[in-house]
Amino acid sequence: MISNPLALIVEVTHRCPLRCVYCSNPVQLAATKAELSTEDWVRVFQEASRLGVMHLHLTGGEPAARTDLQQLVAGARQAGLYTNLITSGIGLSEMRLAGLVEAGLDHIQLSFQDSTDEPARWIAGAKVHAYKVVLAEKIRALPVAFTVNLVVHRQNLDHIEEMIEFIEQLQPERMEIAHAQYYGWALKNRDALLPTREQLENCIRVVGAAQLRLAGKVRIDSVVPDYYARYPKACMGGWGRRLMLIDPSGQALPCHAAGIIPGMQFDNVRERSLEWIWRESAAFQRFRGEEWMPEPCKSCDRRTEDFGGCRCQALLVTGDVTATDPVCSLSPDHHLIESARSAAAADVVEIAWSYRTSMG
Amino acid sequence: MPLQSVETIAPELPLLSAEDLKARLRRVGEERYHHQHPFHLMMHQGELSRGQMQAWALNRYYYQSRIPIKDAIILSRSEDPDFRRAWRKRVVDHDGDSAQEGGIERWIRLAEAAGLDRQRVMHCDGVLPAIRYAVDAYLDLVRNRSFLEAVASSLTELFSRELIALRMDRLRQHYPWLSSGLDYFTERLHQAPEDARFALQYVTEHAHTRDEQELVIAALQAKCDILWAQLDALYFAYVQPGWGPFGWSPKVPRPSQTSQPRLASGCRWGTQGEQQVVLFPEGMIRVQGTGRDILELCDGQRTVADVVAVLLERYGKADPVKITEDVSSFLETLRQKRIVDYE
Repeated sequence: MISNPLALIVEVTHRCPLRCVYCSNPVQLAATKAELSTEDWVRVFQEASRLGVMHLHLTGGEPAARTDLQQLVAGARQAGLYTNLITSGIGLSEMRLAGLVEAGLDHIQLSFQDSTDEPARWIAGAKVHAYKVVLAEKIRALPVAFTVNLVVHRQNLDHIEEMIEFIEQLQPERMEIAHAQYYGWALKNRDALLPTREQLENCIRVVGAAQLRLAGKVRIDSVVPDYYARYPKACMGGWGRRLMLIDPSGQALPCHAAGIIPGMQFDNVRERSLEWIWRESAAFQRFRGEEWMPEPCKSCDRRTEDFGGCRCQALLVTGDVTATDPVCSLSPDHHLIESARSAAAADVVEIAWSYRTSMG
Repeated sequence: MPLQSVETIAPELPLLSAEDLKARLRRVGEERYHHQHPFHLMMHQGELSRGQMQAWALNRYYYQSRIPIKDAIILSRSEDPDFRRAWRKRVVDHDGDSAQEGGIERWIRLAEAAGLDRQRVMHCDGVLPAIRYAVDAYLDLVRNRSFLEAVASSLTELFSRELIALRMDRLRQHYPWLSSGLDYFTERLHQAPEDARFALQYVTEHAHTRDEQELVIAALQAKCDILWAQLDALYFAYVQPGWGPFGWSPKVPRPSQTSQPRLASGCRWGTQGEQQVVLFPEGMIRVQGTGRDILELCDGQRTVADVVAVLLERYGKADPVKITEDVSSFLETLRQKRIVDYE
C-alpha cells in the first residue's frame, strides 16, 4: 500500500532575476512559454488536496515572476493546502505581499545569500541584498509566519556567527541554515562551495550555541551537509514516498533533480491526474521499495531509514543511478566523496563561478 | 675577574595606618566586588528572565551551603576562645538553631519563590562546575592560607550591605514574584555589617607588618575574584553565549498562570483523514489525547489557569498541581518548536 504524498513542491516558473551559483533548478531550465496556466495550477492544487497532500511549497525560479501568484495562493488555500512561498523576494512589493497574505498565504521563506551586500552579490550574481533587507521588514509587519533561509558553503561559513546575528535582526520565527547540495548548478561549482571539515565543525558549534541562546524565540533548523555525513540522507523522505514535485511545464518528478536521470519518462499533469502519477506512473515506481537496491543497501539495516540515499547523487558521482549513494561510508564508491573532501581541504581554490542562467 | 655582585635593595615599606589599610581595602571593593558584574547589573535593571533568576538562586545555593563550613574551618583554626565565641555566631546565622532558622533555609525559600523545588536545590546537581570550583577554592583558602588571610577573606561583607539594600529594592520592583522570599536579605542587612566590623578590627590589630597588611589586602582581592568567577559562570551559561549546564537542552520560559497560550504564527489546525493535526511551515504534528485537549484550549484568550480549570473539570479527580505541571511542560516543549507562543 502506497501512502499518500504529504507535500507538493511546485516550481511555478524557472524565471529568476538571481543567478545563484548553487541554484537547485536543473541546468536545462524550462522555457516561459511552456509554463502551466493559472487554471492548470489551481486544478493541480485541488487534486493534491484530494490526494491527502497537506503542504504546498510554491517555488521557482522566482515564483513572484508569475503575475498570477496571488491567484495561485488563493487557489491553494481554497483547496485547503498549507501554503508556503519560497522566494528571493525580488518582484514582491509591499502591496503585493499584503495581497498574498490576504489571499491566505501561511508562510514566507525568504532567502539570503550572505549578511552584507558585496558577498551576497558575488553569490547571487545580482545586486539585491539591500532590497531583501527592506522587504524582510515589510514581511515582519504582516500577519504571516516568516522563515529566513541562508545557504551556507565554503565561501561564507567563516562568518557564520555574523550571518546568524544578521538574520536574528530580521526577527523571523525560524531560520534555516541550509548547506549547499551538490546537484545542478551547485555541482558545477562544487570545488568552490564544498566546506572544509573545520568549517563544518565550527558551524555545528556556532549553530548549537545559537539554538540555545534563541530557544523559544527563533527556531533554527540546520542539516549537516551529506558529503560529511556517515550515512546518506533519506532524499525527499524516500523516492515517491512523501513528496512530489511539479516543474513549470507540468512534469511530475519525485525530486528536484530527477530530470537528469537518462531514460526516465515523466508524466505531465496536463495529461494525467496527480493520483495516477503518484500511484501508477513508471517514474514514481522506479525506485520505490527495495527491489532495485544493490548491495550493501539490500542487506543493510538502514535501508528503511535512508532508502539507499539519493538516486541523483549516485548518478552524478558514480555514473550509475542504481548505485548506493556514494556519501554512504559503506558505499564501494565512497572514495569519490573522500577525494572531493580532500580537494576541499586544499588551501587555494581558484574561483570561476558558473552562474545560473539568467531568465526573466 | 671582577666580582659581579648583584644585590637587590628593597626598601622596607612603612606600615599602613588603620585608616590607610581600611582605604586600601575599600578600594579593592570598589574595583573588584561583584556589585559591578554584568550579571548583577542586568539583574538590577530587571533584564533577567525568570529562568535566569532561577539559575542564580540554584547556583548560589551551593555558595550559601558552604558558608557555615567555611566559618567552622576558621573557628577550628583559632586558639583564642574570645575569637571563637564571636565567630561562632556566623555558623548559627547560617545553620540556624532551636530558636531561629538560618540563612541556608532562608535561601531555599528564596529559591522556592523563584519557582524551584526545594529538594532539587538542596541536591546541588544542577550547580555549574565553575561555581563549584570557585566556591571550593574559598574553602581551600581558609583552610590552607594563614589564619590572618582566612579572616581577611571574609571582608567582602564590608561592601555587601549597600548591594543588598539596592538588590532588595530592585528585586521587589522587577521580580515581584520573588517578594515572599527576601527574608535572607533582610537578615543579612544587619548581620553582614556586624560581621564585617569584627573581622576588620581583627585584621587591623593582627596585621603587624606591612607584608601582613599586603596579605590581608590580597586575601580580600582573592575573595572578590571568587565571587566574580561565580557570576562569570552564570553569565556564560545563561546569558551569553548561553552554553547551559551539563545535559541541558534549550529551555524556554515556563508559562505562568496568567500566560495566554496560542498557536504560534504560521501554525494552524488541519485534518489529515480523520486525524486532527497542527500544520506548521515545514511539517505537521499529530496531536492526540490530552495533548490535543490542551492545545484546543489554547486560544490566546484562556490563561494557563483557565486551561487547567477546564481540564480538572473534565478529568474529575486529577491533582491540580500535577495537571498544572503537565500543561506547563507540554506548552514549554511546543514553544521550543515554535508551535505555541505565550508571554
